[in-house]
Amino acid sequence: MSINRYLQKYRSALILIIILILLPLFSSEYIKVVAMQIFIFGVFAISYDILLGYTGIASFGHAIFFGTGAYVSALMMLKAGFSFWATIPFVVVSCAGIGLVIGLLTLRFATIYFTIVTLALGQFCYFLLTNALTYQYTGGDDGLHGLPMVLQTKNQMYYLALAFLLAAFFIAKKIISSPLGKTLVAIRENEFRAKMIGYNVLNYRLIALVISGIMAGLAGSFNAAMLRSVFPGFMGASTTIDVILMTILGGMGSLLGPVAGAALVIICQQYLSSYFEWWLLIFGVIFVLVVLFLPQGLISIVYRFRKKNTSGGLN
Amino acid sequence: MSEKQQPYILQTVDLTKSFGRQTAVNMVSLNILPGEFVSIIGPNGAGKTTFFNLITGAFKPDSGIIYFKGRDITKAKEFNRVQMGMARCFQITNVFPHISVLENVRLAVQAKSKHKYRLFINADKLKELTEYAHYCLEIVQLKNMAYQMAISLTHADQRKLEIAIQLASQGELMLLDEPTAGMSAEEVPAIVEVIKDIRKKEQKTIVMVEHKLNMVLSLSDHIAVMNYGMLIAYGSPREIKENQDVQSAYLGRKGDA
Ligand SMILES: Nc1ncnc2c1ncn2[C@@H]1O[C@H](COP(=O)(O)OP(=O)(O)O)[C@@H](O)[C@H]1O
Ligand SMILES: [Mg+2]
Repeated sequence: MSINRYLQKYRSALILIIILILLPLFSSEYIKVVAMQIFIFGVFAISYDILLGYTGIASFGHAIFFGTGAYVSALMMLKAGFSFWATIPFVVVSCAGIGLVIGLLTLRFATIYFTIVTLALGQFCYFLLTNALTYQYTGGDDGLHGLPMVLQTKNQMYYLALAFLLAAFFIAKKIISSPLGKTLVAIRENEFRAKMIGYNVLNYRLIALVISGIMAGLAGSFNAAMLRSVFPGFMGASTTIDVILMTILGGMGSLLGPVAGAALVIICQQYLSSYFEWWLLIFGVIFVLVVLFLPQGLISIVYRFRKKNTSGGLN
Repeated sequence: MSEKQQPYILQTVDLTKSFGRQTAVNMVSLNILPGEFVSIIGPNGAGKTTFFNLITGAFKPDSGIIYFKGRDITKAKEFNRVQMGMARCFQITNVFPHISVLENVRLAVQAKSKHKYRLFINADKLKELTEYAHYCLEIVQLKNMAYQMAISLTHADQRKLEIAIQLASQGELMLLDEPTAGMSAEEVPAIVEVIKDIRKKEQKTIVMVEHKLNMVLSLSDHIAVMNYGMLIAYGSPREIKENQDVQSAYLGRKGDA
């Protein structure tokens, strides 16, 4: 592909990235913080999409990974003096381990077991963070605060979060077009047939869960680093519900959709909630409408529009 | 007992499977030599598909043993059996509906390749897999449909896709469950040609369930007849044609489809 066609193909993506790079130069601190939240939850939602959209298994406890990542980083930084970057390998290993254990226990059965176990385990982990026994380590409901700064300025943090999203997106894109990624989609489409052409379905689901768990854990770590605090809510049901909303609203099975979904949910949380007391109701109505009339999520509007525009072109 | 009869590629010993009170497969013992073409006939509900489900591991037998290439695979997982060299097509079309026809086949090729777990390479850039998938589609005359969604194919074309997927698995043992089921009379000869072709060029062992008797008689080395879950006769096409039990159990009831 020549440079020109390359630019053409990815024009909208490049424009968007350039806008995001320039954003800190003319935006308020507040907008920067909201944008960073979107980047980080974008990664979280991508990780959920790999599981739900591509592999076809629904987790009701995805916040387990997000919370684990956040707390592993926070505890190691605060209690053991690790630098943020030095905690990353531990986040990866612990989230991979949790994914493996949950997966080995549940994924050999119908996927509904996985869903139920993740729900229960999520509640359990939340309890683990908030009870009296662990208070001295986890800070209970108050969480942990005063994490050391990872980078000097807010702008640098902004670019780190942006780079994190772009890297996660790029890696996820690579994965879904790989032999492994295509097999995940095949399993989602017809698990029985996938077995019958020789795929070890359990292994693939485990790998998907581990990849998704690691990605979600890293999003949690970055969230901790950005806020310089962690809260038990990171591990809680509301965080799981948020990521489900983001993924389904934006459009599962598309990678870009969940990022758009993250933007929408976070912007609504930030702005709608300050204007309307009933914003959750409004949000609920939007959600139901999307599920009913746009099952491919909001991103499908963009895809439809683009198809119309390019249908006269090459290919 | 480990009396493994080496020469057989597939051997079942007293294979039995019940659903509730109904014994769908009842003490079926069948021995198949490498390179053989064996057909299984019998009325609907005789247990032919269930027999395939047991061989491929979709169901676990209540009792009995299955040897594949001399190994006891009675408890082996279905994907392991495929990796060992079994390939099956389904009586009721069973494809990946919202994936392209080509990708349906490519996935089957990929499953048998060393690339199947790779994470950081674009699957479509693995040329040899895609080329083999195209080749399989060409054999079943679906080349022009390669980029359509599987679900958009006509019934007959989905049957062909089933066979293409099976070819793509490159199994030594091919289990064909009514490959021409639901096809119109004009479409059958093409499939028969495909099966003959596989037989001649690739020297596979084929076990086929089929109702179309002239097809069965002309293709098979041996024919097994099932009724009420039991194997009631086994022999050459000529022997089967002349067998009284078979006449009354099956051949007499032509209207059966
Ligand atoms: N999954 C199943 N559950 C319950 N009964 C089944 C199942 N599969 C097959 N059977 C029963 O077993 C018998 C044999 O069916 P099948 O193997 O499909 O016969 P055939 O392929 O020879 O037409 C039938 O009576 C059928 O109803
Ligand atoms: Mg049948």
